[in-house]
Amino acid sequence: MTDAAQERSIKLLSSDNETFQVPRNVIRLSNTINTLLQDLGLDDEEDAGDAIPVQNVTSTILKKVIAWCQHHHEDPVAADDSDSREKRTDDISSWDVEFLKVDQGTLFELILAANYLDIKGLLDVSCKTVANMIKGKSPEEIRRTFNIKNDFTPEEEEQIRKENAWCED
Amino acid sequence: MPFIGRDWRAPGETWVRTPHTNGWERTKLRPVQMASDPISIPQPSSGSPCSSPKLLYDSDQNSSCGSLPGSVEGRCSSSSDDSDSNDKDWIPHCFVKSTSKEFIGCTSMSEAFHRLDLARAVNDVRRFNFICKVVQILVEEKLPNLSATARKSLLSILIAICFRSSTEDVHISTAKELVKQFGNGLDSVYTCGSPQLISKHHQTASSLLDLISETNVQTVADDMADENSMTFFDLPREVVLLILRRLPDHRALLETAQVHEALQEMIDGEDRIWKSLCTFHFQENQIKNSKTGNKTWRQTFFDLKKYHGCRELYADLIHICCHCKALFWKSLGHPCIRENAPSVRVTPRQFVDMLIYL
Repeated sequence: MTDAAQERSIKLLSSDNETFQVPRNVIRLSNTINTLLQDLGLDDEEDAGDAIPVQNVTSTILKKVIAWCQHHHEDPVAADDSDSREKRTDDISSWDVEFLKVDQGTLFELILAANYLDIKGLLDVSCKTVANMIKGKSPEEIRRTFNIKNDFTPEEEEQIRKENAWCED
Repeated sequence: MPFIGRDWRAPGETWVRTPHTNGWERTKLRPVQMASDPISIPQPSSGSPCSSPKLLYDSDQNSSCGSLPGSVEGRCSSSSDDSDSNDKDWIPHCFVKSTSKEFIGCTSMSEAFHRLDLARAVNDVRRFNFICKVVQILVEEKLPNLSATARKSLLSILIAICFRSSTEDVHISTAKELVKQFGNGLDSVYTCGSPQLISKHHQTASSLLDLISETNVQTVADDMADENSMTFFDLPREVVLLILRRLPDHRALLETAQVHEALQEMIDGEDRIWKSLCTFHFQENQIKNSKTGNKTWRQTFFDLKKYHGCRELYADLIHICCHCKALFWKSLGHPCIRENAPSVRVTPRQFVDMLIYL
Protein backbone atom coordinates (compact mmCIF):
# COMPACT_ATOMS: atom_id res chain seq x y z
CA MET A 1 0.00 0.00 0.00
CA THR A 2 1.34 3.42 -0.84
CA ASP A 3 1.42 6.37 1.53
CA ALA A 4 -1.30 8.09 -0.44
CA ALA A 5 -3.55 5.10 0.09
CA GLN A 6 -2.85 5.27 3.83
CA GLU A 7 -3.94 8.88 3.92
CA ARG A 8 -7.22 8.21 2.15
CA SER A 9 -10.43 8.09 4.02
CA ILE A 10 -13.17 5.53 3.62
CA LYS A 11 -16.89 6.08 3.95
CA LEU A 12 -18.93 3.68 6.04
CA LEU A 13 -22.70 3.57 6.05
CA SER A 14 -24.43 2.35 9.22
CA SER A 15 -27.68 0.39 9.24
CA ASP A 16 -29.63 3.55 9.97
CA ASN A 17 -28.08 5.35 6.99
CA GLU A 18 -25.55 7.53 8.68
CA THR A 19 -22.25 8.03 6.89
CA PHE A 20 -18.91 7.99 8.68
CA GLN A 21 -15.56 9.10 7.28
CA VAL A 22 -12.76 6.92 8.55
CA PRO A 23 -9.05 7.14 7.65
CA ARG A 24 -7.90 4.10 5.70
CA ASN A 25 -5.19 3.14 8.19
CA VAL A 26 -7.67 3.26 11.07
CA ILE A 27 -10.23 1.01 9.46
CA ARG A 28 -7.57 -1.53 8.50
CA LEU A 29 -8.11 -2.92 12.03
CA SER A 30 -11.34 -4.37 10.69
CA ASN A 31 -10.31 -7.44 8.76
CA THR A 32 -13.67 -7.58 7.04
CA ILE A 33 -13.37 -4.10 5.56
CA ASN A 34 -9.65 -4.39 4.96
CA THR A 35 -10.06 -7.54 2.87
CA LEU A 36 -13.04 -6.06 1.12
CA LEU A 37 -11.04 -3.03 0.06
CA GLN A 38 -8.08 -5.11 -1.00
CA ASP A 39 -10.07 -7.72 -2.88
CA LEU A 40 -12.12 -5.21 -4.76
CA GLY A 41 -8.99 -3.26 -5.60
CA LEU A 42 -10.50 -0.15 -4.10
CA ASP A 43 -7.17 0.79 -2.56
CA ASP A 44 -5.82 1.93 -5.93
CA GLU A 45 -8.68 4.22 -6.74
CA GLU A 46 -8.11 7.88 -6.26
CA ASP A 47 -11.48 9.16 -5.08
CA ALA A 48 -13.35 7.74 -2.13
CA GLY A 49 -16.32 6.50 -4.12
CA ASP A 50 -19.45 5.07 -2.57
CA ALA A 51 -19.88 4.42 1.12
CA ILE A 52 -19.49 0.82 2.26
CA PRO A 53 -22.70 -0.37 3.88
CA VAL A 54 -22.28 -2.00 7.29
CA GLN A 55 -25.74 -3.47 7.55
CA ASN A 56 -25.65 -5.04 10.98
CA VAL A 57 -24.30 -2.09 12.91
CA THR A 58 -26.22 0.97 14.07
CA SER A 59 -24.68 4.43 14.01
CA THR A 60 -24.29 4.62 17.82
CA ILE A 61 -22.33 1.38 17.89
CA LEU A 62 -20.37 2.17 14.73
CA LYS A 63 -19.32 5.47 16.25
CA LYS A 64 -17.96 3.64 19.29
CA VAL A 65 -16.23 1.05 17.15
CA ILE A 66 -14.52 3.76 15.13
CA ALA A 67 -13.50 5.54 18.32
CA TRP A 68 -11.89 2.32 19.53
CA CYS A 69 -10.06 1.82 16.24
CA GLN A 70 -8.85 5.40 16.30
CA HIS A 71 -7.31 4.94 19.71
CA HIS A 72 -5.73 1.60 18.87
CA HIS A 73 -4.67 1.91 15.24
CA GLU A 74 -1.08 2.60 16.15
CA ASP A 75 -0.74 -0.28 18.58
CA PRO A 76 2.00 -2.74 17.75
CA VAL A 77 0.70 -6.04 16.45
CA ALA A 78 0.59 -8.46 19.36
CA ALA A 79 2.61 -11.62 19.17
CA ASP A 80 0.20 -14.33 18.20
CA ASP A 81 -0.01 -16.45 21.27
CA SER A 82 -3.77 -16.56 21.24
CA ASP A 83 -4.45 -19.30 23.74
CA SER A 84 -2.58 -17.78 26.62
CA ARG A 85 -3.62 -14.25 25.75
CA GLU A 86 -7.31 -14.91 25.51
CA LYS A 87 -7.50 -16.44 28.96
CA ARG A 88 -5.85 -13.54 30.71
CA THR A 89 -9.05 -11.72 31.46
CA ASP A 90 -7.38 -9.16 33.69
CA ASP A 91 -5.07 -8.04 30.91
CA ILE A 92 -7.16 -5.08 29.77
CA SER A 93 -5.68 -1.63 29.38
CA SER A 94 -7.19 1.08 31.53
CA TRP A 95 -8.36 2.99 28.45
CA ASP A 96 -10.34 -0.04 27.34
CA VAL A 97 -11.79 -0.50 30.82
CA GLU A 98 -13.19 3.02 30.68
CA PHE A 99 -14.28 2.59 27.09
CA LEU A 100 -16.27 -0.52 27.94
CA LYS A 101 -18.05 0.96 30.94
CA VAL A 102 -21.37 0.83 29.10
CA ASP A 103 -24.66 -0.91 29.73
CA GLN A 104 -24.95 -4.59 28.91
CA GLY A 105 -26.99 -4.07 25.75
CA THR A 106 -24.35 -1.79 24.26
CA LEU A 107 -21.59 -4.14 25.33
CA PHE A 108 -23.22 -7.09 23.58
CA GLU A 109 -23.86 -5.04 20.45
CA LEU A 110 -20.21 -3.99 20.45
CA ILE A 111 -19.23 -7.65 20.59
CA LEU A 112 -21.49 -8.45 17.65
CA ALA A 113 -20.15 -5.51 15.66
CA ALA A 114 -16.55 -6.48 16.44
CA ASN A 115 -17.33 -10.04 15.42
CA TYR A 116 -18.99 -8.96 12.17
CA LEU A 117 -16.28 -6.46 11.27
CA ASP A 118 -13.64 -8.92 12.48
CA ILE A 119 -11.76 -6.52 14.73
CA LYS A 120 -9.65 -8.90 16.81
CA GLY A 121 -8.58 -6.52 19.55
CA LEU A 122 -12.01 -5.10 20.24
CA LEU A 123 -13.62 -8.53 20.18
CA ASP A 124 -11.00 -9.72 22.62
CA VAL A 125 -11.40 -6.97 25.21
CA SER A 126 -15.18 -6.91 25.02
CA CYS A 127 -15.42 -10.69 25.45
CA LYS A 128 -12.98 -10.46 28.34
CA THR A 129 -15.17 -7.82 29.93
CA VAL A 130 -18.15 -10.16 29.78
CA ALA A 131 -16.00 -13.03 31.05
CA ASN A 132 -15.05 -10.84 33.99
CA MET A 133 -18.73 -10.36 34.72
CA ILE A 134 -19.08 -14.15 34.90
CA LYS A 135 -15.89 -15.02 36.76
CA GLY A 136 -15.91 -15.38 40.53
CA LYS A 137 -19.67 -15.73 40.86
CA SER A 138 -22.12 -18.42 41.84
CA PRO A 139 -24.65 -19.61 39.23
CA GLU A 140 -27.38 -17.62 40.95
CA GLU A 141 -25.30 -14.45 40.83
CA ILE A 142 -24.52 -14.96 37.16
CA ARG A 143 -28.24 -15.34 36.49
CA ARG A 144 -28.93 -12.09 38.27
CA THR A 145 -26.23 -10.25 36.39
CA PHE A 146 -27.54 -11.29 33.00
CA ASN A 147 -31.16 -11.52 34.02
CA ILE A 148 -31.40 -15.18 33.04
CA LYS A 149 -34.29 -17.34 34.22
CA ASN A 150 -33.38 -20.53 35.99
CA ASP A 151 -34.68 -23.36 33.86
CA PHE A 152 -33.35 -26.18 36.03
CA THR A 153 -35.62 -27.99 38.44
CA PRO A 154 -34.21 -28.48 41.94
CA GLU A 155 -33.69 -32.19 41.15
CA GLU A 156 -31.71 -31.35 38.04
CA GLU A 157 -29.60 -28.87 39.97
CA GLU A 158 -28.79 -31.52 42.54
CA GLN A 159 -27.87 -33.89 39.72
CA ILE A 160 -25.44 -31.41 38.15
CA ARG A 161 -23.90 -30.67 41.50
CA LYS A 162 -23.22 -34.36 41.99
CA GLU A 163 -21.75 -34.74 38.52
CA ASN A 164 -19.45 -31.80 39.10
CA ALA A 165 -18.45 -32.86 42.57
CA TRP A 166 -15.78 -35.25 41.38
CA CYS A 167 -13.89 -32.63 39.49
CA GLU A 168 -13.95 -30.14 42.30
CA ASP A 169 -11.79 -32.59 44.30
CA MET B 1 34.71 13.24 56.89
CA PRO B 2 31.80 11.50 58.47
CA PHE B 3 29.26 9.97 56.20
CA ILE B 4 26.18 12.14 56.02
CA GLY B 5 23.24 10.15 54.79
CA ARG B 6 19.66 11.12 54.36
CA ASP B 7 18.08 12.18 57.61
CA TRP B 8 16.15 9.10 58.58
CA ARG B 9 14.12 10.83 61.26
CA ALA B 10 10.62 11.19 59.91
CA PRO B 11 8.78 14.45 60.55
CA GLY B 12 6.07 12.41 62.23
CA GLU B 13 2.70 11.28 61.07
CA THR B 14 0.07 13.65 59.86
CA TRP B 15 -3.33 13.03 61.33
CA VAL B 16 -6.75 14.15 60.25
CA ARG B 17 -10.00 14.34 62.10
CA THR B 18 -12.79 12.48 60.37
CA PRO B 19 -16.44 13.37 60.74
CA HIS B 20 -17.93 9.92 60.30
CA THR B 21 -15.96 8.09 62.94
CA ASN B 22 -15.52 11.17 65.08
CA GLY B 23 -11.93 10.28 65.70
CA TRP B 24 -8.45 10.83 64.37
CA GLU B 25 -6.95 8.87 61.58
CA ARG B 26 -3.50 8.82 60.13
CA THR B 27 -3.43 10.71 56.82
CA LYS B 28 -1.31 8.08 55.18
CA LEU B 29 -3.99 5.50 55.75
CA ARG B 30 -6.75 7.75 54.43
CA PRO B 31 -7.12 6.12 51.02
CA VAL B 32 -8.00 2.81 52.58
CA GLN B 33 -10.48 4.22 55.02
CA MET B 34 -12.19 6.71 52.81
CA ALA B 35 -13.71 4.07 50.57
CA SER B 36 -16.63 4.21 52.93
CA ASP B 37 -17.20 7.95 53.24
CA PRO B 38 -17.89 10.25 50.31
CA ILE B 39 -17.35 13.40 52.37
CA SER B 40 -14.21 15.20 51.44
CA ILE B 41 -11.57 15.89 54.01
CA PRO B 42 -9.12 18.75 53.49
CA GLN B 43 -5.64 17.42 53.00
CA PRO B 44 -3.08 18.98 55.32
CA SER B 45 0.12 19.69 53.46
CA SER B 46 3.37 18.34 54.69
CA GLY B 47 6.95 18.84 53.67
CA SER B 48 8.14 15.30 53.38
CA PRO B 49 7.66 13.92 49.88
CA CYS B 50 7.24 10.30 50.77
CA SER B 51 5.13 10.39 53.85
CA SER B 52 2.40 12.53 52.30
CA PRO B 53 1.65 11.32 48.84
CA LYS B 54 -1.37 12.97 47.33
CA LEU B 55 -3.80 10.22 47.86
CA LEU B 56 -7.11 11.94 47.81
CA TYR B 57 -10.14 10.19 46.45
CA ASP B 58 -9.00 8.18 43.55
CA SER B 59 -10.40 4.94 44.74
CA ASP B 60 -14.00 6.02 44.63
CA GLN B 61 -13.99 8.19 41.58
CA ASN B 62 -16.83 6.19 40.08
CA SER B 63 -19.22 6.68 42.89
CA SER B 64 -18.65 10.06 44.38
CA CYS B 65 -17.06 12.44 41.91
CA GLY B 66 -19.92 14.88 42.32
CA SER B 67 -19.36 15.57 45.96
CA LEU B 68 -15.74 16.55 45.68
CA PRO B 69 -14.32 20.05 45.71
CA GLY B 70 -13.34 21.51 42.35
CA SER B 71 -9.64 20.86 42.36
CA VAL B 72 -10.02 17.18 43.00
CA GLU B 73 -12.97 16.86 40.70
CA GLY B 74 -10.86 18.00 37.78
CA ARG B 75 -8.37 15.27 38.41
CA CYS B 76 -11.10 12.79 38.87
CA SER B 77 -12.84 13.31 35.59
CA SER B 78 -9.68 13.62 33.57
CA SER B 79 -8.11 10.43 34.79
CA SER B 80 -9.06 7.57 32.58
CA ASP B 81 -6.18 5.47 33.79
CA ASP B 82 -5.90 5.85 37.49
CA SER B 83 -2.77 5.96 39.54
CA ASP B 84 -0.13 6.01 36.85
CA SER B 85 -1.13 9.29 35.28
CA ASN B 86 -2.26 11.53 38.06
CA ASP B 87 0.15 10.71 40.84
CA LYS B 88 3.24 11.64 38.95
CA ASP B 89 5.08 12.55 42.10
CA TRP B 90 4.46 9.30 43.85
CA ILE B 91 4.98 5.74 42.71
CA PRO B 92 3.87 3.05 45.16
CA HIS B 93 6.87 1.07 46.34
CA CYS B 94 8.45 -0.03 49.57
CA PHE B 95 11.87 -1.17 50.62
CA VAL B 96 12.54 -4.51 52.18
CA LYS B 97 14.22 -4.25 55.54
CA SER B 98 17.89 -4.97 55.45
CA THR B 99 20.50 -5.53 58.12
CA SER B 100 22.15 -2.17 57.55
CA LYS B 101 21.40 0.45 60.18
CA GLU B 102 21.81 3.26 57.67
CA PHE B 103 18.94 2.03 55.63
CA ILE B 104 15.30 2.30 56.58
CA GLY B 105 13.20 -0.50 55.29
CA CYS B 106 9.57 -1.16 55.67
CA THR B 107 8.85 -2.24 59.21
CA SER B 108 5.37 -3.68 59.25
CA MET B 109 2.84 -5.38 57.09
CA SER B 110 0.38 -2.52 57.31
CA GLU B 111 3.05 -0.09 56.20
CA ALA B 112 3.91 -2.31 53.27
CA PHE B 113 0.25 -2.53 52.31
CA HIS B 114 -0.01 1.20 52.44
CA ARG B 115 3.21 1.93 50.62
CA LEU B 116 2.28 -0.46 47.84
CA ASP B 117 -1.14 1.12 47.67
CA LEU B 118 -2.93 -2.22 47.80
CA ALA B 119 -6.33 -0.93 48.86
CA ARG B 120 -6.53 1.51 46.00
CA ALA B 121 -4.98 -0.84 43.50
CA VAL B 122 -8.00 -3.11 43.94
CA ASN B 123 -9.83 -0.84 41.53
CA ASP B 124 -7.34 -1.65 38.81
CA VAL B 125 -8.51 -4.68 36.89
CA ARG B 126 -4.91 -5.65 36.14
CA ARG B 127 -3.92 -5.81 39.79
CA PHE B 128 -7.16 -7.06 41.30
CA ASN B 129 -6.42 -10.78 40.94
CA PHE B 130 -3.00 -10.52 42.52
CA ILE B 131 -4.34 -8.68 45.54
CA CYS B 132 -7.23 -11.12 45.87
CA LYS B 133 -4.76 -13.98 45.96
CA VAL B 134 -2.68 -12.26 48.62
CA VAL B 135 -5.77 -11.58 50.70
CA GLN B 136 -6.95 -15.15 50.20
CA ILE B 137 -3.70 -16.58 51.52
CA LEU B 138 -3.82 -14.21 54.47
CA VAL B 139 -7.39 -14.91 55.51
CA GLU B 140 -7.17 -18.65 54.96
CA GLU B 141 -3.90 -19.40 56.68
CA LYS B 142 -2.24 -16.45 58.32
CA LEU B 143 -4.93 -14.66 60.28
CA PRO B 144 -3.55 -15.84 63.66
CA ASN B 145 -0.09 -14.62 62.64
CA LEU B 146 -1.23 -11.09 62.03
CA SER B 147 -0.99 -8.27 64.51
CA ALA B 148 -4.18 -6.36 65.19
CA THR B 149 -2.93 -3.42 63.13
CA ALA B 150 -2.04 -5.66 60.23
CA ARG B 151 -5.50 -7.17 60.44
CA LYS B 152 -6.99 -3.69 60.31
CA SER B 153 -5.15 -2.95 57.08
CA LEU B 154 -6.20 -6.31 55.73
CA LEU B 155 -9.78 -5.43 56.53
CA SER B 156 -9.48 -2.14 54.68
CA ILE B 157 -8.33 -4.02 51.60
CA LEU B 158 -11.30 -6.33 52.04
CA ILE B 159 -13.57 -3.30 52.23
CA ALA B 160 -12.08 -1.97 49.02
CA ILE B 161 -12.59 -5.35 47.34
CA CYS B 162 -16.22 -5.50 48.44
CA PHE B 163 -16.89 -1.96 47.30
CA ARG B 164 -15.53 -2.69 43.89
CA SER B 165 -17.42 -5.98 43.67
CA SER B 166 -20.69 -4.40 44.58
CA THR B 167 -20.46 -1.24 42.49
CA GLU B 168 -19.20 -2.97 39.38
CA ASP B 169 -20.97 -6.27 39.97
CA VAL B 170 -17.86 -8.39 39.56
CA HIS B 171 -16.31 -11.23 41.56
CA ILE B 172 -19.20 -11.27 44.01
CA SER B 173 -18.57 -14.81 45.19
CA THR B 174 -14.86 -14.28 45.49
CA ALA B 175 -15.41 -11.26 47.70
CA LYS B 176 -18.04 -13.06 49.76
CA GLU B 177 -15.74 -16.01 50.26
CA LEU B 178 -12.90 -13.78 51.44
CA VAL B 179 -15.09 -11.92 53.92
CA LYS B 180 -16.54 -15.16 55.27
CA GLN B 181 -13.07 -16.62 55.75
CA PHE B 182 -12.01 -13.45 57.50
CA GLY B 183 -15.00 -13.70 59.84
CA ASN B 184 -14.31 -17.35 60.58
CA GLY B 185 -10.67 -16.63 61.26
CA LEU B 186 -11.62 -14.08 63.91
CA ASP B 187 -13.15 -16.82 66.02
CA SER B 188 -9.82 -18.54 66.50
CA VAL B 189 -8.37 -18.37 70.00
CA TYR B 190 -5.07 -17.16 68.63
CA THR B 191 -6.42 -13.94 67.16
CA CYS B 192 -4.57 -10.85 68.32
CA GLY B 193 -6.22 -7.71 69.60
CA SER B 194 -8.74 -6.72 72.21
CA PRO B 195 -12.16 -8.38 72.37
CA GLN B 196 -13.71 -5.04 71.41
CA LEU B 197 -11.60 -4.79 68.30
CA ILE B 198 -12.43 -8.35 67.33
CA SER B 199 -16.12 -7.77 67.72
CA LYS B 200 -15.81 -4.56 65.72
CA HIS B 201 -14.11 -6.49 62.94
CA HIS B 202 -16.88 -9.06 63.14
CA GLN B 203 -19.46 -6.35 62.65
CA THR B 204 -17.62 -4.86 59.71
CA ALA B 205 -17.37 -8.28 58.12
CA SER B 206 -21.06 -8.94 58.47
CA SER B 207 -22.04 -5.52 57.14
CA LEU B 208 -19.76 -6.14 54.18
CA LEU B 209 -21.62 -9.38 53.50
CA ASP B 210 -24.89 -7.45 53.58
CA LEU B 211 -23.50 -4.89 51.20
CA ILE B 212 -22.54 -7.50 48.63
CA SER B 213 -25.80 -9.38 48.72
CA GLU B 214 -27.93 -6.22 48.50
CA THR B 215 -26.38 -4.87 45.35
CA ASN B 216 -27.31 -7.86 43.30
CA VAL B 217 -30.95 -6.99 43.54
CA GLN B 218 -30.15 -3.59 42.16
CA THR B 219 -28.63 -4.89 38.95
CA VAL B 220 -31.74 -6.86 38.14
CA ALA B 221 -33.83 -3.72 38.41
CA ASP B 222 -31.44 -1.92 36.08
CA ASP B 223 -31.84 -4.52 33.42
CA MET B 224 -35.57 -4.75 33.66
CA ALA B 225 -35.84 -1.05 32.91
CA ASP B 226 -34.73 -1.50 29.35
CA GLU B 227 -36.82 -4.14 27.64
CA ASN B 228 -35.48 -3.59 24.16
CA SER B 229 -31.80 -3.80 24.86
CA MET B 230 -29.90 -6.87 23.91
CA THR B 231 -29.47 -9.66 26.44
CA PHE B 232 -26.96 -12.42 26.90
CA PHE B 233 -29.10 -14.96 25.10
CA ASP B 234 -29.57 -12.77 22.04
CA LEU B 235 -25.92 -13.39 21.28
CA PRO B 236 -25.31 -16.05 18.66
CA ARG B 237 -23.85 -19.32 19.84
CA GLU B 238 -20.41 -18.73 18.31
CA VAL B 239 -20.07 -15.46 20.21
CA VAL B 240 -21.12 -17.05 23.50
CA LEU B 241 -18.47 -19.68 22.81
CA LEU B 242 -15.89 -16.94 22.34
CA ILE B 243 -16.83 -15.58 25.75
CA LEU B 244 -16.76 -19.02 27.39
CA ARG B 245 -13.32 -19.65 25.91
CA ARG B 246 -12.09 -16.62 27.82
CA LEU B 247 -13.00 -18.04 31.21
CA PRO B 248 -9.61 -18.85 32.65
CA ASP B 249 -10.36 -21.81 34.90
CA HIS B 250 -12.55 -24.85 35.37
CA ARG B 251 -14.38 -23.36 38.34
CA ALA B 252 -15.77 -20.50 36.31
CA LEU B 253 -16.79 -22.94 33.58
CA LEU B 254 -18.55 -25.35 35.93
CA GLU B 255 -20.41 -22.52 37.65
CA THR B 256 -21.51 -21.14 34.31
CA ALA B 257 -22.74 -24.54 33.25
CA GLN B 258 -25.15 -24.48 36.17
CA VAL B 259 -26.68 -21.21 35.06
CA HIS B 260 -28.79 -22.42 32.19
CA GLU B 261 -29.44 -25.56 30.18
CA ALA B 262 -28.17 -24.00 26.97
CA LEU B 263 -24.90 -23.06 28.65
CA GLN B 264 -24.57 -26.47 30.24
CA GLU B 265 -25.06 -28.13 26.88
CA MET B 266 -22.39 -25.90 25.38
CA ILE B 267 -19.83 -26.48 28.10
CA ASP B 268 -20.44 -30.23 28.16
CA GLY B 269 -20.60 -30.57 24.40
CA GLU B 270 -17.85 -28.30 23.14
CA ASP B 271 -14.56 -30.03 23.78
CA ARG B 272 -12.77 -27.08 22.20
CA ILE B 273 -13.39 -25.03 25.34
CA TRP B 274 -11.59 -27.63 27.44
CA LYS B 275 -8.86 -28.02 24.88
CA SER B 276 -8.00 -24.33 25.04
CA LEU B 277 -8.08 -24.58 28.83
CA CYS B 278 -5.52 -27.41 28.65
CA THR B 279 -3.19 -25.56 26.31
CA PHE B 280 -3.36 -22.52 28.53
CA HIS B 281 -2.56 -24.25 31.79
CA PHE B 282 -0.17 -26.98 30.74
CA GLN B 283 2.96 -27.55 28.69
CA GLU B 284 2.78 -29.31 25.36
CA ASN B 285 4.64 -32.40 26.54
CA GLN B 286 2.47 -32.72 29.62
CA ILE B 287 -0.60 -32.72 27.43
CA LYS B 288 0.94 -35.22 25.04
CA ASN B 289 1.57 -37.66 27.87
CA SER B 290 -1.90 -37.41 29.26
CA LYS B 291 -4.09 -37.13 26.18
CA THR B 292 -4.46 -40.67 24.97
CA GLY B 293 -6.91 -42.38 22.66
CA ASN B 294 -10.47 -41.30 23.11
CA LYS B 295 -10.05 -39.42 26.35
CA THR B 296 -11.95 -36.16 26.15
CA TRP B 297 -10.23 -32.84 26.65
CA ARG B 298 -12.37 -32.29 29.70
CA GLN B 299 -11.09 -35.50 31.26
CA THR B 300 -7.56 -34.63 30.20
CA PHE B 301 -7.79 -31.27 31.88
CA PHE B 302 -8.82 -32.67 35.24
CA ASP B 303 -6.19 -35.41 35.06
CA LEU B 304 -3.48 -32.87 34.30
CA LYS B 305 -4.72 -30.55 36.99
CA LYS B 306 -4.35 -33.30 39.54
CA TYR B 307 -0.69 -33.77 38.71
CA HIS B 308 0.51 -30.34 37.79
CA GLY B 309 -1.90 -27.81 39.26
CA CYS B 310 -3.17 -24.80 37.42
CA ARG B 311 -1.08 -21.96 36.12
CA GLU B 312 -1.45 -18.61 37.79
CA LEU B 313 -0.95 -15.56 35.66
CA TYR B 314 -1.41 -11.95 36.63
CA ALA B 315 -1.56 -8.99 34.30
CA ASP B 316 0.35 -6.97 36.83
CA LEU B 317 2.26 -8.14 39.85
CA ILE B 318 4.74 -7.16 42.50
CA HIS B 319 8.41 -7.24 41.55
CA ILE B 320 11.47 -6.86 43.70
CA CYS B 321 14.36 -4.81 42.44
CA CYS B 322 17.65 -6.69 42.58
CA HIS B 323 19.56 -3.47 42.99
CA CYS B 324 17.77 -1.43 45.65
CA LYS B 325 15.57 -4.16 47.16
CA ALA B 326 12.39 -2.24 46.57
CA LEU B 327 9.06 -3.97 46.16
CA PHE B 328 6.98 -2.36 43.45
CA TRP B 329 4.23 -2.92 40.90
CA LYS B 330 5.73 -4.11 37.67
CA SER B 331 3.70 -1.80 35.47
CA LEU B 332 4.36 1.29 37.55
CA GLY B 333 8.07 0.86 38.16
CA HIS B 334 9.87 2.52 41.05
CA PRO B 335 12.41 5.25 41.60
CA CYS B 336 15.73 3.44 41.49
CA ILE B 337 19.27 4.70 41.78
CA ARG B 338 20.25 2.60 38.83
CA GLU B 339 18.45 2.73 35.55
CA ASN B 340 17.03 -0.51 34.19
CA ALA B 341 18.02 -2.44 37.27
CA PRO B 342 17.00 -6.08 36.97
CA SER B 343 14.04 -7.22 39.02
CA VAL B 344 12.34 -10.52 39.74
CA ARG B 345 8.72 -11.30 40.18
CA VAL B 346 7.22 -12.01 43.59
CA THR B 347 4.36 -14.49 43.69
CA PRO B 348 1.48 -13.82 46.09
CA ARG B 349 2.76 -16.52 48.44
CA GLN B 350 6.30 -15.20 48.47
CA PHE B 351 4.91 -11.73 49.03
CA VAL B 352 2.91 -12.89 52.05
CA ASP B 353 5.90 -14.78 53.47
CA MET B 354 8.06 -11.69 53.09
CA LEU B 355 5.57 -9.57 54.99
CA ILE B 356 4.89 -12.11 57.71
CA TYR B 357 8.56 -12.30 58.64
CA LEU B 358 9.24 -8.58 58.50
